[in-house]
Amino acid sequence: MNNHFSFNRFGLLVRKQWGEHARLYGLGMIAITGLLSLTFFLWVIAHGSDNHFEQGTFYLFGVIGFFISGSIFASIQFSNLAQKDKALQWLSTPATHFEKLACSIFFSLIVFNLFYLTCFLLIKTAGFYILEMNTSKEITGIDWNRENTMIVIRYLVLGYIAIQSVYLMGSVYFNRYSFIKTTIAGLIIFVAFLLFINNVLRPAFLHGGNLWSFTSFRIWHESEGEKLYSLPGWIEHTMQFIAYYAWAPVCWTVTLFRLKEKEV
Amino acid sequence: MIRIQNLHFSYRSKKVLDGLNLQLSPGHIYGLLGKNGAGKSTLLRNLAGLLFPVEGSIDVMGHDPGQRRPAFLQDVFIVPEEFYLPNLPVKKFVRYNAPFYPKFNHAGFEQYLKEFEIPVSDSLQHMSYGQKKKVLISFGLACNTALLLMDEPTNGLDITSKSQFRKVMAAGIDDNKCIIVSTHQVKDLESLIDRITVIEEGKILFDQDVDNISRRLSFKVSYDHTETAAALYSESSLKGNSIITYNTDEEESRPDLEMLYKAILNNQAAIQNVFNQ
Repeated sequence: MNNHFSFNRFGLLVRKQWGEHARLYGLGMIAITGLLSLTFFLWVIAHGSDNHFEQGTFYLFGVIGFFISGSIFASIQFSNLAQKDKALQWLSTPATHFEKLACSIFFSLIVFNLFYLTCFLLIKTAGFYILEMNTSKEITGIDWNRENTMIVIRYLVLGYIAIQSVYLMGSVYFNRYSFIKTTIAGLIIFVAFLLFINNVLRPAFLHGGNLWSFTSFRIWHESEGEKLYSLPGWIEHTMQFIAYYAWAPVCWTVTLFRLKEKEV
Repeated sequence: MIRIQNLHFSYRSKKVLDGLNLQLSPGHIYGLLGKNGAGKSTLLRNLAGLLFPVEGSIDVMGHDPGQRRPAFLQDVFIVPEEFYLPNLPVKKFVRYNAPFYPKFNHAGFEQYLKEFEIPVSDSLQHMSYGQKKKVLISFGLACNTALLLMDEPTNGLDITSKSQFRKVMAAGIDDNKCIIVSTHQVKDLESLIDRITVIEEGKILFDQDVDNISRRLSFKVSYDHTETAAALYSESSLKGNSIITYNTDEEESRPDLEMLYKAILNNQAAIQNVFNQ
């Protein structure tokens, strides 16, 4: 018997989670649609007599909502581990920890996102259609062909996956108020990192600064003028790769080991 | 089937299981008795892989339960004292959960529910605690797992349901199954259990087959003061004195497990001595 990963068991887990939470997901979808509608409505009202609407602004609201609601959804993925009765049932379900984690990632990264994007596109399409009916309104769309737009989207997607994986990990570490606790823990780590850079690393180096990348350091000598110290390019590329893509796999791996250690 | 060796378990500084050794085989219903906090539920959860031993080892059908591998989990079912069932109709609950257990018997499940007088079409959302428990017990039995663990299964069941429970359990056991029932309410399960294991302060205090108990001990009511005084254990009742004595006449009497349990706690050395001879 395959005790590592079975698509059959994974499918059963997905079906079970869907079946047991379908009502909750339905209500969540209605709530998201309602909140996005309200946001759109308030945004239109806030324009007052200004008839110029930029779609980009509404997209920005959508992205903020996407990050917040996605993080909340990820942070409740393992909330059942906080309750003894639910944790017992969940841990006893005949599937590997990896399959259970994969199921949670599937729901937070695929199912939730599809739901949210559906709600968002529905409200956006309907909202701007109604606005366009009023000929006095001027609507500026987004230029999807601009190079910068695609770069921003790429960073947003990578950032979103990384943040969601952090909240997913937080839901295993913190039994209660996981979203709040993960946010606080994240902020503390971020501030500690900044303090470390400013108070420990910077004083340790000569006066100077990074040039374009983390692997080049520019120093000004009064006698010798400007000097540039650079590490090999492959180090920069490796560091970039890690910074872009490693967050989620690292957090998922930590979550997996934490799940294996879980007792109830 | 189950081999527990030198099992130690603690909740932080509180020692619960202290060098426990036990061997259990299929085809039996084991009764796990003990005071509150003696470690019965902890032992069951160690067996189910929900808690990990601090020291010692547990082997369940060749598996280390703590690994929680699917091959192990699909052959073990636990009916905990505090349980969770989703708010779904019974049919949907079975549809989503039964496929995880390859030996699940749908006809058996319906039969158990029928015995418990629970309509399959009902929703778990509208059921009482006792009814939900009966659904879970039925589901656990229908899973046909080699190991079925039950923690206080009769808690929350009314008198009729307890009788139905005994009937369902008797129908659910076979030579390939091992059922371990942890309980305070010995009377509820007296006719079912065929081996008694008493845990006290994290150790096995007593572990004997009911047949062996019947052969070695005699449970009777006595009006004779001399006999009562010489008994291994006695307690007065309206009918006279209920006593436990050596079974010298080789007449098998039905063990009163509640009285035996009290006897073990109050006069352990004498009771143990009977079985060591």
